[in-house]
Amino acid sequence: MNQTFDVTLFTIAFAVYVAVFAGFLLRNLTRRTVFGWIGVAGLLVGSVLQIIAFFVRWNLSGHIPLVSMHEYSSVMSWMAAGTLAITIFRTRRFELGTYVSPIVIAIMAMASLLPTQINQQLVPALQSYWLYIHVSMAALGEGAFAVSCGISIYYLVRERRRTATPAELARIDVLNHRAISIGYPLFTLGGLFAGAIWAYNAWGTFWSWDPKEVGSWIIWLFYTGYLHARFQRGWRGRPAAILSIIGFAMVILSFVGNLFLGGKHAYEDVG
Amino acid sequence: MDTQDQRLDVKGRRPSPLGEVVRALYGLFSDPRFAIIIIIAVAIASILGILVVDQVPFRGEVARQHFADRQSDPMVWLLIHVVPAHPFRCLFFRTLLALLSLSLLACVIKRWRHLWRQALTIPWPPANAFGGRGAVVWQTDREPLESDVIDFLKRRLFVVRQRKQDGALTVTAVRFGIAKLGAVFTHLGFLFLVIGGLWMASSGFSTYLWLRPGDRAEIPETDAVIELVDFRIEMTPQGRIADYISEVRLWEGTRVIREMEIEVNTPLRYKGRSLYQSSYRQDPTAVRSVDLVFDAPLDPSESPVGHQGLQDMDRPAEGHPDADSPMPPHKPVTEVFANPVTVTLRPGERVALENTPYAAAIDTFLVDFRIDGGRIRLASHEPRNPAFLVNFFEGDSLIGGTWYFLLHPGMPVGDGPDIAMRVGGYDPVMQTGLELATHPGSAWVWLGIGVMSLGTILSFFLRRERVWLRVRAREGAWELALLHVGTSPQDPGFARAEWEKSVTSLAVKAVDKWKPPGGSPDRWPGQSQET
Repeated sequence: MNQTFDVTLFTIAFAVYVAVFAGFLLRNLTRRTVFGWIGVAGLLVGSVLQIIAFFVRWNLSGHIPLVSMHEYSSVMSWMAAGTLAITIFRTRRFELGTYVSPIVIAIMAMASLLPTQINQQLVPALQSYWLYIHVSMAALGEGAFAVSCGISIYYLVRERRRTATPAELARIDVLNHRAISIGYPLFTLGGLFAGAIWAYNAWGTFWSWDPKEVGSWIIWLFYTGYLHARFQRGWRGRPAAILSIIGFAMVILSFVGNLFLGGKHAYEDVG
Repeated sequence: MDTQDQRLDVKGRRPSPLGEVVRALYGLFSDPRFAIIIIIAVAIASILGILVVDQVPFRGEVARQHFADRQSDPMVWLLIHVVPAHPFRCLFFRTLLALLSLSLLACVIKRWRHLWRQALTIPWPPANAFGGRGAVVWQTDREPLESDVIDFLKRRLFVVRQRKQDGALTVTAVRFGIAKLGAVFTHLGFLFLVIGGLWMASSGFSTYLWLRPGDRAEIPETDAVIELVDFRIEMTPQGRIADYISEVRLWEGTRVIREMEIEVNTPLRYKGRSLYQSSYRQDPTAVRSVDLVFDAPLDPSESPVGHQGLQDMDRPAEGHPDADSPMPPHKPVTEVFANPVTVTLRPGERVALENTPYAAAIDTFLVDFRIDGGRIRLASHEPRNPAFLVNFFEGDSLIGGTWYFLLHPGMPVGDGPDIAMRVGGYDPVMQTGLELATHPGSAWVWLGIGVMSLGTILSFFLRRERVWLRVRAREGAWELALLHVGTSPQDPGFARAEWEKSVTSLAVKAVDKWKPPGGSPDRWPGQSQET
């Protein structure tokens, strides 16, 4: 099967992210900062490759590539990689790369297993500017949740090994919360509200309890519960980290659920 | 004070039993723990709804009909009476949403005054604020000009107040205090959304209008009539659907008030009703034309004679799609024709069959037929197994009719003449499927989306910042003390790191107006030193 250029770029970015993980591992083993910076540079290279792939695919398909599950997960992984690069750059915490980059790789692997063919014709329901707003913001929000999941794993490992002071753990906890603070509003405004307004225009109802909608609703409720637990009940540190990991697991379940549950959101790959 | 006394209100009166109930309920609903429990309950109910209930094919009324003969079976009873037909519209789920709404309302009421005060007031620092662990202190020889820093803060959208007291100038500044109301707006917005959603789900209705070009339909509870002028499906060269469009005309009496094309993302809205391009289908009982292929005799004298063996059978009701058409005997037809001729029949037209004394006309079309009790009936609206009843005429006399089946060309049945004939193809009539819906409560939903979006933006994209500055002469120099409220005095290391990274970058610039540029503080947050 002939592979389009964007898929080639995607595959190279995938390989770069695997190398990035190796770089961060080396940094952890040798404690040499240069490997950490190589990892950050790799994240940036991979992100740039994904951006180019995104626009190449846009050009080939004639519409924004946010239609298939491959395209969606590709944007999600790009957001996670970019957020990770910025976080490490700002905090100089190269260990984060060891925990978050595997999640980026896992999302890329998932994307590479999904059909990559380009459909040039959008189904009528998707022919709307809301596609740009709704899907992109939801994917970016879920990418931020992926980063928070990786940071949470990092937190739990550091806590369990007792290699971090309480102040250090508090900083990691704040990083986790910041990732969610980026993802939650994006997901709320783009994933839920923009989607509801679009559905009202296209399907005649704001909300139809479609499997994907229910999945998003549960994810939103979960992160809402997380925020309330954090601010009202003081759940920080370990409980917050565990909630964050469960939250991202829900994101993945909702994403994969499209393959089994179908519904109105199954457009290009399934249904 | 004993327990009895504690129950008295501020005026020393004993509250009424109703008042106590209301107070207890308010205490319960305004407790964040209750809100978290309800959120978890809604989430679990949603998971069960989509993964369990929605996957049960027979439930509620459907189960009652499907298992009509097994109603005493406990499992069937469970499916009929316990498993909800619509998991997200059942009373249980709506009750959970209502409880969540009440919780939101109580939380908003409880926190309103506190948040409002935080949002709109510019408090002065407490007496010992600058001696605490969160303050940063500089010493400088240059006399600070108060206008420098105040202008600086004002340019950056701070609301500034200042006062001089005991030889010290104190400045208090707040930016984006309104961010504190973000939580109130998100809670209220969600409340509006739930109200609108429940209202819409209970009072709204939606129905399908299946229209052919030229058809008209009344829009319920209005004087308007919608007419479908044309319906077209646009295809790509690859055979994929690019768009489907209904060109409609809206009439009020004899006046056309609107003409537009309804597409999937472009509904027609009229007096609280919306018409959506929802679907399309093949008309189950109408065709534009049918191509009949028959074996024309080479010599007219060899033309077949009418089949006389079926005269005693009932004739189908003409023109009725789901007519109780009799099931006549089977007349096998060979596939190979010596002289195949194709004629195209259109509804209402009679077409002469070459080299025969007969003319044919299409009588009935069924998009999917089934044989029920010896009669041919409409099985479904899907084009699975089309059937065509063709009437044959000799002169002006109807001599018989034969059913032809697209997928079974060798098996026509009926009392028409013995002509070897089959259906070669047909041109369907397409119907547009317009969903007519009303949305009572949609104003609440829009309000909810707007208010909640505002709350989300305020909560996550704006941060309330407070800066307290004090300048005073001290030991022949000037001492600047800065407190950026929000740093954590419990964790000095963390507070300093936060301070360095982001929180006070702006405040430091402000202080830079008063001190030699680049000078390090003499005291960082966390260093306790009473000044």
